[in-house]
Amino acid sequence: MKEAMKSIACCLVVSMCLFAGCDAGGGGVMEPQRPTPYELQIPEGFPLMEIPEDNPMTVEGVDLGRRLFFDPILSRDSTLSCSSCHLSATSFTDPAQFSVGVRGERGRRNSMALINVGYAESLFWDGRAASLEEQARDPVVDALELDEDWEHVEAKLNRHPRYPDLFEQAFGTRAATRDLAVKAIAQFERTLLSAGSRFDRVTAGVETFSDLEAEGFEIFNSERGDCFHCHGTLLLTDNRFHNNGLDANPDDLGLAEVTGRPFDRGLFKTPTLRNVEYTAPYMHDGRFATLEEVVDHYSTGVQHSSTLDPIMLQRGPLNLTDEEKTALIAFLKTLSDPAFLSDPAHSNPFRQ
Amino acid sequence: MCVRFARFVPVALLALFITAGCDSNEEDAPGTVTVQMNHTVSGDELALNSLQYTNTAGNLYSVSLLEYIITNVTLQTAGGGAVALSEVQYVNADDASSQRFSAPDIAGGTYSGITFTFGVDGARNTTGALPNTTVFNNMAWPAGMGGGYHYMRLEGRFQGDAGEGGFAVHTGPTMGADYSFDVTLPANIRVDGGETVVEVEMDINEWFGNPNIYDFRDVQGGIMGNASLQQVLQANGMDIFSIGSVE
Repeated sequence: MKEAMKSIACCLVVSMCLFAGCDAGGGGVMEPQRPTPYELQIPEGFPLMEIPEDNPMTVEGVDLGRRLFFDPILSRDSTLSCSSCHLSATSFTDPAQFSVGVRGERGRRNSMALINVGYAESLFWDGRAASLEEQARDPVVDALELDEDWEHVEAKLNRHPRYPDLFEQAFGTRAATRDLAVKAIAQFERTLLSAGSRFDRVTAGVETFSDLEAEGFEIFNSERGDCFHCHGTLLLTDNRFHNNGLDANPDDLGLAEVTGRPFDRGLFKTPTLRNVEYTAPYMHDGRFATLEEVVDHYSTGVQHSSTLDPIMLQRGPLNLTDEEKTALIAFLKTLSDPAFLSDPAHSNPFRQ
Repeated sequence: MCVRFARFVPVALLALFITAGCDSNEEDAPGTVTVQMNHTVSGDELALNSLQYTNTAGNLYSVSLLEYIITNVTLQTAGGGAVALSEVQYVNADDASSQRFSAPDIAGGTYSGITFTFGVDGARNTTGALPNTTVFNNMAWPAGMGGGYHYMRLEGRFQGDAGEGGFAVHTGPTMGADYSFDVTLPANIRVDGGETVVEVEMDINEWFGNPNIYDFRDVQGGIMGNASLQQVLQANGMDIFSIGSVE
């Protein structure tokens, strides 16, 4: 009897130990693991990046976003991905003037380089998207780009052998949706930080410009060239919209296509000049193949229109000398960050 | 009984006179003071990108950009004291949220006016001194021209003799000189709980005609390195602000 009681007591104790290790409730279900916060390394001197409250950055979210960015699953025929037109080797832009979409047709504007894009206050050349999350929706459904629809994308993701797990790890649900997919892509894009250029090292005081680069910087950062008014700050963009005199009668209305305001006709978003050496061709329509052409435009090629930027309207032609042009281009090349192009964290995960 | 109470009357009257002479009424509760920056052109509310304004020089012009920094915004007391409202404020005529700022928990009482510095005063106007945000970073004044920050960027278009022209009135610390200026606006501002809104108006035309005439046709190139024009604008700027209303 005593031995039986001892056995029963032992079983009870063991059972209690087992159940004590379980969650309350009938099934002993483990809580899903919370995603790991992602520590975004903001470069020295850069402003704080605003992260949307409804899309905090996580390791799992960034990883999922990186996969989606490079995965052709987002396109109708699974041939193209975001990275097809935003190539890491060219600083996440396309070396073609206009990118070719799934239908074999070209777009109408040059692919924008995704550099420090987490600081953008609006996306696209015409600013029609107010956030990275909003922007990421468009290319998937654009007939000239990925030519897909989000319902199909969701279906493909949800029957994929891996994506349900990845969505669960990132967002706590195995159900892939458009909204979660673009959140992940936006998280990845916020990690595309470039601040390793010679210009940054000079700014930090660990290197000095050559005489030619210094002369070019002086032109850039003074009223001689007046580049800094639009391409200033460490971001090398003011994140605003300007008409920089490309056309007397612009066909592409730019910002005005979004706002409908006549004084926005022909205004386009100021792109960053970081890595400009790698991001040819230039302007919203990729009309300039080289930096020399760009500088020539600002020197003597500006076209007057009713919305030409007032600073350019006031200044008139810069009439740079050949030496000044050479110096300015030498300075622009100090904005190059080659490590950004080959950073494994930004590279195609399906090729590693 | 009447005699007993009568003894207190003189004391009561005396107390009444004492409290009537004070700025601080013991019954005035702390409140929020809100400053609303408004922009006009000779009395008319500014409409951006509208070619309808004429300055003293006869330039017909429009404004496409007006942004500026004010610092050391304070309420003045009759006794010469000051209560801080804002240390630094960026204002953009195209962004309503930037034109209005508030300071909570301001001691109740009656204040004699509002003061601020237009721009960033010389001692503080160094690169990196202001918050590291897009709006302030965009106002950076190149190091080679003195460093620090623009006080103002006022840009637009005008009808010149030979066609359309542009203007870019950028004021700031040209070659390290301090062209900021202090603005003192007398006003009866009573804080007694709730919110008191003080409207401050900038009359843009005052930049161009009082006391110096600023003719867009006479300005060649940028003015950031032009000390003479910076001095002209500093002098003209002294009377551009006024109190609109206090409610």
